[in-house]
Amino acid sequence: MRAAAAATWVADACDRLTDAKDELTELDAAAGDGDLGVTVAAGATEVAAALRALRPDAGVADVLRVAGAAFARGNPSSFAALVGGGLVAAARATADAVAFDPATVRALVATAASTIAERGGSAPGDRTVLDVLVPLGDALAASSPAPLAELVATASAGVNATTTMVPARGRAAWVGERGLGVPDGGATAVLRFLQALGSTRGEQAA
Amino acid sequence: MLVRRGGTPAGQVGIVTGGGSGHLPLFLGYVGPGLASAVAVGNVFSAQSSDAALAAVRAADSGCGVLVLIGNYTGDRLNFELAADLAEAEGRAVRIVRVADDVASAPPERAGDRRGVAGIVFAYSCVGAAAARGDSLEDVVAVAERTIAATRTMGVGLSATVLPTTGRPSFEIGADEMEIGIGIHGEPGRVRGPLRPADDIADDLLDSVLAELGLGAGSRAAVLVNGLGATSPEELYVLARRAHHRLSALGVEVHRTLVGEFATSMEMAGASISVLALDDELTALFDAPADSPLVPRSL
Repeated sequence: MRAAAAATWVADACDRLTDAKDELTELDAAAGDGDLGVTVAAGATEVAAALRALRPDAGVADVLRVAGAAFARGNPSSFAALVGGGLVAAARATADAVAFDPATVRALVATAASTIAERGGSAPGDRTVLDVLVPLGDALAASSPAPLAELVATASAGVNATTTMVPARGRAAWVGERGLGVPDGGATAVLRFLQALGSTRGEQAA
Repeated sequence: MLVRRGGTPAGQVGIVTGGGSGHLPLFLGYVGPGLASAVAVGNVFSAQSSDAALAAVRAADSGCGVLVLIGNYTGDRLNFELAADLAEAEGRAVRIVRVADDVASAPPERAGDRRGVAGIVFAYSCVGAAAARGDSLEDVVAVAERTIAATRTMGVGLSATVLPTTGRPSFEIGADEMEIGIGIHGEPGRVRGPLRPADDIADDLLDSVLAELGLGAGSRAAVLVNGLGATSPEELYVLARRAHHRLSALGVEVHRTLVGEFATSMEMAGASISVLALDDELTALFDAPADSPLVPRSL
């Protein structure tokens, strides 16, 4: 898929993602400080506007860099800066790509996940966004292109797994086992984003 | 965001700093000749945005690159790292160095996890002077790392800060209690106990600070006694006197002692003592001219 078309699709999905604001606020309030709903909704709004303002000849790296900067701009939280930093690093890793082909998608997910892990000092199992991103990267590495529905199922399984994890990072770590039984908000946000991609464009190969 | 008037002089590395508000004169007060070129701040005890961080980096870059000098706090770091990525995509050279001087916040084997507190003031002074004499970005980074490696701080808190966002104290502490090792956001320290005389408190702080600096007869040091917001200058000078006596007894030459409010925590009562082990080069950098409306000319 050409970069400009992907940007439009992602912008539409970001409009839809703002519907998850209250759910993410509640999940985060159960284990963290409750600002995740605002962070994701404000970030998604900024991303949609920034991607729609891109020039039609924008490349893959432009889309990722602009999206990363815009997501972090929405609300200056650690989650926003981590995800934004992951996307900007993904832009560097895909600098030569002209389209969101399977190899590019694989590289961007892997780079975003490894950058977030390094900067956040966390690993899969710490009850973070990585508990969805790493399984997604593994799924893409095993078989790509992967149908979007399959990626949604992978993300959903990752979110469910976080309900039994004790938080190790971020403000959620302060409450420790109080977060048990509730899925991680950051991981849930990725799932909701993939579902929004599905509902705005139907079945697509990623 | 605040930028030095006229920006970074041509041919000099730009110095950028920033973080949450609530610590004046940190961070806004350290912008000026011989100090930082630009600063980005967030709300009280909240990280600066990546947008403000990027704007500060751009404003400070005269074409010779930018050193971002910040305290070791996750939100501050993540937003400056993102800003550095975006600045590098524009072709700018950016390096981030984190100050982690608070000995109470992690043991020596995890020194990189320590918080940055008042000792960052020594780094501003030496790094600002290195930039002003025309050092390259790599050389300014080396001065920053050397200054930080030679700086240790420890603080004591006697009352909590009331956060404007909640209207409540950031932690509970009795009127007859103190907490040794407290952070500048009220992070828990090492020991909570009954109040003791100022000299005893100074000894506690200095024992931890000096244990890691290896100062002895013939060495030279600078001392910074910092009020956290609600402690009087008279009390700070009592701590400074004890620090001077302790270092002199070790045979250490106290090159200069700074006493005042350099990195506060709103209206928290308490103080911190920072010590910088000086060599000839750091002494010259520390003594070089620096000027800002919010900090003493002597810095």
